[in-house]
Amino acid sequence: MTDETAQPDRAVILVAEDDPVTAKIVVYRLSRDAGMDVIQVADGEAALDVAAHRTLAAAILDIRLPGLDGLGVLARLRQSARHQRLPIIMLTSLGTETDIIRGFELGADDYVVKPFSPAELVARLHRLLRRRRPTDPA
Amino acid sequence: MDASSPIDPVFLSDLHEAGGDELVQDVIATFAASVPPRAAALQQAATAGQVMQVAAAAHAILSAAAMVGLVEVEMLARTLEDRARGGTLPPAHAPARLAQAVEEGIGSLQQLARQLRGGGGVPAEAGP
Repeated sequence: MTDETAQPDRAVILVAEDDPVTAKIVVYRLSRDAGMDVIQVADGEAALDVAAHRTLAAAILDIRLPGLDGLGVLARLRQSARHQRLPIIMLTSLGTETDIIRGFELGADDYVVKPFSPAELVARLHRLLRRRRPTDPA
Repeated sequence: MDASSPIDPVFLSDLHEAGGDELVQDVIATFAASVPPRAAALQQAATAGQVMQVAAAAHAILSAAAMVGLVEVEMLARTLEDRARGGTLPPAHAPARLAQAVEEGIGSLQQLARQLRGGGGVPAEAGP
């Protein structure tokens, strides 16, 4: 698990992505360019563990995670009162429209298709953060 | 971009613009450390007839390749993933071809990184 040094005035973003290349690019852009604290995990169970113990401003979930996949994580988060309004963006691949639809049905706020522009991802995240408030502290 | 080029240079160029040579080298190193083992795992899974493991490895490879613009690797991996998710193992030569494309792709990334470091911007084509 990657946990960028937390600072109290910075938004904490959970990134669940098992591909190290994608994770490195996303973490870099969010932490260096967008000034966010990022906690990166590589599987669904770890994502739920982070969500249970940290106050998050938003989550970015890859749909194809090993074990509990991103849609499973999304469903579990939305079952929790704490995370019903948490901004969540799904990462998906071309040709997975059914996953995208299922994601929206489960309560995803947005999605991006790989390969995506990291700048676009940051812009979409900022848009969601302007609309939502962070989750309540644990 | 030349349609026959194995790499779309825009992706690495964007990374260079965002984080300079340090980020580019870091991402290439991450790709070189993580993707060839996945290609080897895919070959082993194909030999063992483990179709879902083939699909999982192919998906991981295409995800990484797509994010750095290795379009040929992405296309080959996507074909294998689609076949595997349909329950079909790849043709005998396909996993080795993918592994070869991954190695060639790493060379293309390193070559493009050198061009970017030299201030050449996005070349019209980038290949091994």
